This record gives sequence, structure tokens and C-alpha cells, in this order.
Amino acid sequence: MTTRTVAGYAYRALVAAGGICLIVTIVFSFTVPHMYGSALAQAWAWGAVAPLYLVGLLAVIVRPDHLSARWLGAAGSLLAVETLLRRVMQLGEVDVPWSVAGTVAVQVVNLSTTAAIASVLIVFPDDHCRYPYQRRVLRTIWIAPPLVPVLLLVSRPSLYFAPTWTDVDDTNPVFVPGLSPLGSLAEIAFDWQYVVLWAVGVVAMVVRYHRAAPNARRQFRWPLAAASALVALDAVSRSLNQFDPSPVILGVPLHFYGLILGLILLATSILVAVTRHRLMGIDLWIRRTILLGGASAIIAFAYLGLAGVLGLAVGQRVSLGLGVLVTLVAVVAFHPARTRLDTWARRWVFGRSVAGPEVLRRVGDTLEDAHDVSQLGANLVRTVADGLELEWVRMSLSADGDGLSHPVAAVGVAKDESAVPDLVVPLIDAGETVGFLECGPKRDGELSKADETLVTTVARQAALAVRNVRLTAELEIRLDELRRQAEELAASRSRLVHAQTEERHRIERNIHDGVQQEIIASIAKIRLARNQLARDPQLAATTLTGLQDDTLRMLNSLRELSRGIHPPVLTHRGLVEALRTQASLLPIDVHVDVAPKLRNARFPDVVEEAAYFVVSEGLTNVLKHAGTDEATVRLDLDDGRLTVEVADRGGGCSGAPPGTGIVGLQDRLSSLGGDLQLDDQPGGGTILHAVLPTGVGDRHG
Amino acid sequence: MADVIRVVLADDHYLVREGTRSLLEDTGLVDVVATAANADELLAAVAEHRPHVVITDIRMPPTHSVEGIRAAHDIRRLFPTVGVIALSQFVDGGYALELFKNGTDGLGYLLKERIGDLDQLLEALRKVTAGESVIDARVVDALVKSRADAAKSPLRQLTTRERDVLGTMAEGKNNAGVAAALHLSESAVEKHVSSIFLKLGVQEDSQISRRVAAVLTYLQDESPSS
Repeated sequence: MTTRTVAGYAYRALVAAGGICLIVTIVFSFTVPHMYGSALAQAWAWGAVAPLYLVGLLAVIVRPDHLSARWLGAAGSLLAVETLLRRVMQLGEVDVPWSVAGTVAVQVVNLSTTAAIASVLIVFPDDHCRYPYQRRVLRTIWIAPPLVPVLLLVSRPSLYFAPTWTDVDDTNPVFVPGLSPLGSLAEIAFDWQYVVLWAVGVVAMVVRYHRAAPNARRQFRWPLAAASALVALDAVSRSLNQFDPSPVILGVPLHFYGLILGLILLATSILVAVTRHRLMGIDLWIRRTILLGGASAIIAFAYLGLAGVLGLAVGQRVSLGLGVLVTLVAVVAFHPARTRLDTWARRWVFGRSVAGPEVLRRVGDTLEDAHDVSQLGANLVRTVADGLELEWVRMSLSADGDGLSHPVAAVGVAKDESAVPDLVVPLIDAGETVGFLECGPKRDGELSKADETLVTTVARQAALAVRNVRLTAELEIRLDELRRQAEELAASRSRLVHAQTEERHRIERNIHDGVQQEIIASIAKIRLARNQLARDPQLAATTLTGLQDDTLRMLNSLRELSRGIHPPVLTHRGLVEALRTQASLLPIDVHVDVAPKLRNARFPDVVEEAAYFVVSEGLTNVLKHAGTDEATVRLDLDDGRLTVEVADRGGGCSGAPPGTGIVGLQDRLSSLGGDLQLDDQPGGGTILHAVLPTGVGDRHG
Repeated sequence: MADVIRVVLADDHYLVREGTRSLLEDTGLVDVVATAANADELLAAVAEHRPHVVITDIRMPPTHSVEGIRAAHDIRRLFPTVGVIALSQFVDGGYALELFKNGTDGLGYLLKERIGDLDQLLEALRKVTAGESVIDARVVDALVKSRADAAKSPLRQLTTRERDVLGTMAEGKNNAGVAAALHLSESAVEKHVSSIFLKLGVQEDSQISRRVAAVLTYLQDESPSS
């Protein structure tokens, strides 16, 4: 057996002994005469011992390993043991050495009881010592139980009894005369043990109270007040005891009232704190059953007692029938008061919290009204905070993409404050966590399972609402985007139509001013030749030779023209070949840099033509504006998108708005789902960059 | 033919300009005293050389629209003795009507390919020099057709023959010319002309130039406003 198990068994034995002692004490209080009368015996057994023991027992049963519970159980048990021991000492004459053993035992148990109650004050309601000073104080006060009895024994000529003791031989066989100066000091220590040790406990509690967070403070606010009252009442009682004889009220000496009342207060306040704040893990059902049941029982008892006493009082003077009638009337008359008290007890037990369904209803309203996420969040956190009486609530939502949650709404706490929540519930919608609902502590008590369930339900609804709001917003954005695209499309189409018209005009002008005129000139020349033929055949031959040259020139003009409309090489040999041909015809040096995979690649006509005219435009711009005699054409295919670039190292195009040619090409490319951009190159020069999806209008599969 | 016709030639296209000049000068009947590549040069040359006739392209720099027609109007206003023949590539009659909008005297409108029809060109030069007017037959044809297409046009009441006569008349020919062109007797032409003027409700006039003007005015008035 380890030390721990030995201590465990010893502890259980102590608690069991305490229970037995309590029962025996109560039985004795009815049967064995007390030196002060049975009234004090009863008052002490019911008022001081029973509450403390029962509260300690409850705590130990619910949380056997909890530090505060153990001290509480120890304190109640020791008090019961001490009480019985004192009664046993009164039973008859006791001689040495039993008188010595009994006296020391009572003193040790008495001081242990006091120290145990002080220990409760030092640690309650925690499961462990939060601060090093707590352990030091605990060690210090527990010096008293073994030390003081030994001091009393060696420093006094007679045994030091409590004043209640009578028929005991007080001969002290172990008195050491040399230590007699310590005697009075030991007496004071023993007589004022309650005041001193409990005051230490109260001071330790006050220190802790100051360091604690607001919600933690609430948990032992009342026990602190009760402990303070206990110390004060006991100090007053001790003072009263200096008078002789002590006044007796209702059979109980006045100086006992302070101790009894203080212990009742302490036991009650601890019970209330434990149940109300769900300390030591005492669950809601215990709170409901024990607390409400207890409160109802007390109220019912008081009610019936009051009615009964009234009935009895009347019955002694008048007939029994009238007494019964008065009792019945009293029962009826006090009924509203009882109902009122029951309601009050219920509220006291369950708090003022809004019931779950009501919170859900309010959340439902909140969600209906919300049109954007921040408003939704603000309404939601306020409803949850109000509904569950939470100190603060915060809602965080993950923004699109980054996976991090950002606070969108908070009540009772700054959005970005690093407060540690008591409860964090994820907002999950369709398996995706869209954010978190963080709950601070309750204004009173701890969050219950029911509260958590409620918050989880709310979170589920909220997640759905968040998604709805976001979807709506996204839809708006998409609609705007669509509208914008439609407008852009309309503008682009209009520009395309204009560009086509413009292009037809250009072609018409080219034909009119070019080939047509040349043909007219040829007609004139033919006519001239006809005239010359008769006069001077040689001259006519010369004219006709010139005419042949003219006709060849016309043919070339027509070829140029048709290439401008659609270069035939593009159709027959493909984009790369067409670009090389074009490059070779220009008076500047053009490097055509084609990705190997594109060498023999063919694309839909529209794509090849667009790419071809991008390069044409780019090279024309280089010729016109760049002031350089070198340009590079790059062609690449990446993920089904054709990239076309025309780059030069010339003067650049900074600041100039794109020309009509570029705008026309942009329209042309965007109609194919592509894009065209004209940029300055780093280090000088211009780059015309086009991207074209090659799948557009694909006829080649 | 006694006198050589002095001509100023305006065309922005060098080959056309020089080709026409060679052709005309080769006949020995025409002296091209100056050439111009645009309307300003043309007016300057006219002011300087006072030619008998100006032959001008319609579409010239700087705007490539109807510079030639505007120049013709200017010339007729500033130098009433100088005739103007507009050489055009436009078959549609709108340009011709534009040219003749202030009167037909001393104005001619010919398609450019008439350069190859040297006799007709010379004839036109002579007529315009004499203050008469000339319109290319194809242009009149187009004009009549486009007007006749309009619903309710009195031109629809004309017979095919009468339309031929009207067209030939509009070219500036007298009855004998019309008869020769259409292989008809002069008396038949006279009957047709009377019938035409009756159907169109236009005052008959034997003076050729005024007859052309009347026909053109009629065609112009009838031109659909749309």
C-alpha cells in the first residue's frame, strides 16, 4: 500500500467516523443530559455540526479528489468527532492517565477542526493551490494542532480543560515547572485559536479575492463574507464569555450563538456557492434536486409549522374544532406567501436566465433581420450574451480564402482583445467551419451542459445564416459583375462593328485610290498605245511595255491588299509560317521565337488570324514609334492558351493611351476570351502581350 | 477644229494625271497647260492660265470627299468662261446632282473610264467649252433607275423607249443626237420627247442645255428625300 492509499483509507475512516459521531451526538442530544441543557446540545448538533458535515460529505461524494472538497469533508468530520469527544468526556469521572489522554485528544481534534476550516478558506473553491503562499500558510497553520496541546501540557501545572468540563481529575503529571512562563501564552493560543486561524484563512482568501478575475470572485464572494462574519462573531462571543455568568437565551448561552451562527452561515454560503456556480463539478441535477428540494422543504416546513403553531396556540384556549378551523384558515391564508417563496426559491436556484427556447426564438428573429454579416454578428452576439447572461460573446468568421478567423462582432469585450473564452463553438455549415462563436463566463455561475447545447444549436443556425448572407452578397457581386460584363460586351460589340465598318472603308479607299486609279491610268495608256500604233509602232511597243509593268504592279497591289484582309499564307501554311513571312517582308530585323511544340501547330482560323494581326499591329507600332530596327516576336502555348508577344528595345510608349488599333484588337481578343496588354518593358522598350484560348471556335477538334 | 483646247488637269494620282495628259496631248487637239494634285493647286492654276476647260478628279486630298465638285463650283462662279468636267469613279447619280445643283451650263460629269473613249472625251471638252453640259450615260441611267424605283414616281409611267430617250437627252444630246444614238428617226424622237415632258409635267424646251437642266432638276426634285 502506498502512502496515497493509506491516506485515502485514513481519510475515508475520518469521514465515516465523523458521520457516526454526528448520529451519536444527535442521539445523545435527546437522551444524555448536557451540562448546559439539551437546548445547547441540540442547537450545536443541528446548527453547527450537521450543516458543515453534510456539506463536506456532499462535496466528498461528488468530487472525492477535489482539494477543497477534501478539506471541507475533513472539517465537518473533525467537528463531529470533536463534539462527540467532548460529550464523552462529560459522561463521568475520569482519572489520570485517561484524563490526560482525553484532554490532549480533545485539544488536538479541536485545533485540527479549526485548522481544517481555515484550510477550506485558504483553498476554496480551487482544486489546487494557485499561489505558493497558499501552501506556506497551510503548512504554518497545521503546526498548531500538534504544538499547542504539547505546550499546554508541559507548561501548566494542571490540565487545561475547556471551561465546559467538570468532573475530571486535572492533575498534570508531565508539568515542567521551568516552562511555566509559556503557560499563559499557550492558553491564549488555545482560547483564541478560532479567531487567529480563521482570520489567517480570511486574509488568505481576501488576498486571493483581489487577484481573481471578476467571475472567479463571484464564486467565493459569499463564503468570504460568511468566513469574515464567523471570525467577527466568534471574536464577539469570546469577549462575552469573559463575563460570568454568560447570559443564557432560550437555553443556549449567548457566547455560543456567534460560533453556531457563523458555522451555519459558512456551511450555507459554501453550499450556495458550490451549487450556484457549479463548483467542484456539482451538476445541474444536483442543484435542481437538492437545492430546490431543500429550499421547498424548508419553505413547506416553515409554512406548516407556522400554521400549526398558530392552530396550537389557538387550540389551547378554545375548542379543538375551532383550532382545526384556524389552522385550515392559516394554511389558506399563508398559501400565497408560500407560492411567492417557492417562486423566489426557483429563481434563486435557476437564475434569471432566459429559457432556451426563448433564446432560440430571439436568435431566429435576429437571423431573419440580418442583411449583412456584421449586422448579423452584432445581433447574434447580443442575443446570446443577453439570453445566457454571459459577460461577453464574440463571433469570428473566416474570410474567403485565408482560412483564418477574424472577429466580426463582439459584445462585452473588444473585438481584438485576447480574452480567454470559457466556451468556443465552431460555426459549421455543410461540413465547413465558417467561423467561431466564443463565449465568456456567465455573469453568475458556470456554463452548463444545457447552455453549451444551446450555444451549439445557435451556432448551427448562425452558420447557415452566415452562409445565406454571404451567398446573397456573392450573388450581388456576381450580378454586378455580370451587368458590368454585359455592358462591356455591348460596348465591345459596338466597337467591333465600328471597327469592321472602319476596316471596310479603309479597304474601299485602298481599292479606290490604288488599283482603280492604276487601272484608269492603264486605260489611258492603252488608248495612247492605240493612237501611237498607227503613227509609230515602235513608240506603241514602248508604251505597251510600260503598261505590262503597270499591270504587274497592280497585281502586287492587289496581293498586298488581300493580305491585309486575310493573309492567304495563314490559311495554307499556318500561323508560324505566316509570321515568318510577315517578318521577312519588313524593313527591320524581326526575331521570331517560337516554342518548339508550336512549329507545326494549327489553331482555329479566328485564333490564328487574331494572333497574326496582334503581331502585325505590334510590328507596325515598332516601325512607327519605337525608333529601333529590331523587334522580337514570341509565340508559346501554355495550358491551352496561346501567348503572343511583340517586344522591342525602343523608346517605349509611356503614358500614351492605346491607339485605335490596340483597342480594336483588345475587343477582338476579348470576344475570343483572350486578353491584350501593351506595357513598358523594364529596362526600356515596349511589349505587346496577348493571351488567346486556343479552344475557341475549334473546328479541328 | 481650229483652236487647240487649253486644259488644266487635276488628279491626286500621278499615273492617272500623267496618263491622261499624254493621251490628250497625243491627239494634238488639246494643250494641257497645267496639272494639279489638289483643289487649291487647281484654282491657282486656273487663275493663272485661264484654260478653256478644267478636267478634275472628284476625290482629292486633303479630305478625299468631294473636293473636285467644290472646286468646280468655285471655278464656275469665279471664272464663268471656264468649263469644268468632273471625272469620277462614282457611278451613283448623287455626285452628279451635287455638281449640277447650281446649274448645268459649262459643266460635265463623266466616269473616269471614258478616258479610253477619246472621241467622247474630246466631244465633251468641246461641249463644255461651248457652255453646254454633259452627263455620262451610265450615270443618267443610274439616276433614272434609282428615281424610278421610288413608288408613285411619274418615271414609272414612261415606256422603256421613252426612258432611253430621256437618258440620252439628259446626256446633253439634241434630238438628232438622240435619234442617232438610239437608231430612231428624228420625228420619232420628237414624239417621244413630247410624250416624256407631258408625262413628267415638265415644260418642254428645245434648247439643249436648258432641256438637260430641266430633266436633271426634275430628277433631283423627284429624288427620294429619304
